[in-house]
Amino acid sequence: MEVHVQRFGERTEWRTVGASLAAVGLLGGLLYWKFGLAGALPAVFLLLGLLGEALFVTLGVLALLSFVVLTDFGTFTERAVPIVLEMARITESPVFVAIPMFTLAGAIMTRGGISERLVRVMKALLGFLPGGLAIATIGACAFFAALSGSSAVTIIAVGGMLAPALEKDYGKPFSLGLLTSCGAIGILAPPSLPLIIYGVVSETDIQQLFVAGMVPALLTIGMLAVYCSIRGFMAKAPRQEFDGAELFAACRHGAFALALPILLLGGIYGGIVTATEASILAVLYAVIVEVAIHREVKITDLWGITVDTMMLVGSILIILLMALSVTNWLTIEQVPQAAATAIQATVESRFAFLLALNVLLLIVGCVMDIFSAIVVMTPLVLPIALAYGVDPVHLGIIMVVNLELGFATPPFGINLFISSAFFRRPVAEVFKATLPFLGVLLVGLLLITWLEDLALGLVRASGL
Amino acid sequence: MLAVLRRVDAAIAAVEKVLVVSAIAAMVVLSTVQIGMRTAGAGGLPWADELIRFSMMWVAFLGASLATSERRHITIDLLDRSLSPRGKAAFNLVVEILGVLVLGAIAYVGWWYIGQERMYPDKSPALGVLYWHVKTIIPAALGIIAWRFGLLAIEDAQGLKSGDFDYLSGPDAEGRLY
Repeated sequence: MEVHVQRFGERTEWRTVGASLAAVGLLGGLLYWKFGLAGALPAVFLLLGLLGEALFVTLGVLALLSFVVLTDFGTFTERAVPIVLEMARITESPVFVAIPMFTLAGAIMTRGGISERLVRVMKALLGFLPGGLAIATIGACAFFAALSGSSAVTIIAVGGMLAPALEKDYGKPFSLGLLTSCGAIGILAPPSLPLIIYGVVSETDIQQLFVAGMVPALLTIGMLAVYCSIRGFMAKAPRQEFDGAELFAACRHGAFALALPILLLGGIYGGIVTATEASILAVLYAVIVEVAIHREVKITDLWGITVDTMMLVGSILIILLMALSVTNWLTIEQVPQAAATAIQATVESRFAFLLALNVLLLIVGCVMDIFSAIVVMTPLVLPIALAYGVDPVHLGIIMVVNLELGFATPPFGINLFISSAFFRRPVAEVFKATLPFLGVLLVGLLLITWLEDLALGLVRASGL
Repeated sequence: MLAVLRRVDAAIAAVEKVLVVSAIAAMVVLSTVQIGMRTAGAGGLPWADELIRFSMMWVAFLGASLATSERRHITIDLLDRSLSPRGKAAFNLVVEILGVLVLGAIAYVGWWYIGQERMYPDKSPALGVLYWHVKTIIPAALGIIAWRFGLLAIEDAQGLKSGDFDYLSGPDAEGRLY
């Protein structure tokens, strides 16, 4: 299935382009005048970003500028060699291995058509509730996004299957809004790739992050479900009769897809395997299930799926590796610490800081994909958050929820455009349809941000 | 001209793909054996962990280099919708030339670093391979990325000359992780 998102305009809107570039240029000039070259680095980042430079190249430029131009001893190679040294550090942490492996397992399961199995189970399980079909959609999206790690693919795979029935029972705007905002909702649930990447970047324990993500994930899913239930009740949407035999049949049909997260969690928290080993077993499991049991993936397909997945993983990891050296330089120069002191002087309460953080991350999530955003923002935000007494595990959850909301936030959230292309509706219509759902999720985000026990309670109780 | 360069590139990519898939397969098999042996109380393979971590490095760099030729690298495409294909191709040309320069410079530094390592060869404790052999992938992959940005730049330059920008509108969403 191919989706062509309208990426370019008919003609170049020089006014928009010129104004954006001029604004960034002006900002850069101001920063340079006030703080020198080091201060102008954020403007360089923005400028290259606007020009469409690959993110890892932009970070490479920043790394070269900071290490070569702003250091004043040694030859060019001696100055720049820390960049390469940081890259070589990838062999040090076994956690890195979990990133390609969970992604690969998800890709194999997706190719094997688990979306159809999940949808059937969720419909049989939840269809009898008021707003049942909508709630089943949320369940299927959450499950699918957790397994596939991709909100774009979730919209296409699950949305494509459920959109016709949703439109018939609930109307077009509801269907469009629900599917667009649901795309990212499961990303907090294990094996959450964004959480693993946050764990790698912030050097936080992955297992703790997984546990901390559970209640917030259920909370956001639950809030959306309640909202859909009310809307379904009001719209007098038809409810499905509960059918035990169908539920049993559906579960049998989808047993292997449903079992994976349970096996993973059981394995990790039962202390049988580490998160890294679990990721590798997940690949093995996906191969056995899809090739030998479901027979939906041919063994020869695995070659293409692996190459494809590793291109994705490579494009994320190279950003991470380039960012490491920039972060390293910032830490040597104590930039985050200086920023923390400056911000603490103006923003006194932790409450106000967190609110500002929410707004900032929403904007970042709207223009950047979640992985790059985590890689770039974590090293900058973490020291400041620590100064306000925010727990690093809690911060990780806030960031992921926030950035996943950014996916569906107008005007640039990527899900809006995927939806618009896939369901063939104008972008403006998708914006409008998504807003009520976004509102519900926003309330959830605020609760997760301010009630740290939602994330940390379970971590403390589990004694990790 | 571009056709010949592309054929050379395809040959490089074919080798890279073989390496990536073998590395992943080795990682899965070795880890499974490791877990199996440990569960059976038979200890484990002392060198497996090292091999997995080294393979990881190769997979990451080769994956990144393969992503370059398909224009699959992550960008902030904020202005794309305000650009015509011609405008986009022009912007692309600028960022790709910068890509050649930056990646070329870092690859050069990486090569110099490998040279330093060769002077004091150091072996990994369990597997006994020379570290600089493993790390050679860093300058190699970065060099290939620079070369591929060069090819993309030629493609965009040709597009600007001929006015045909079909190569820019590939499928979206599919193959994106976010």
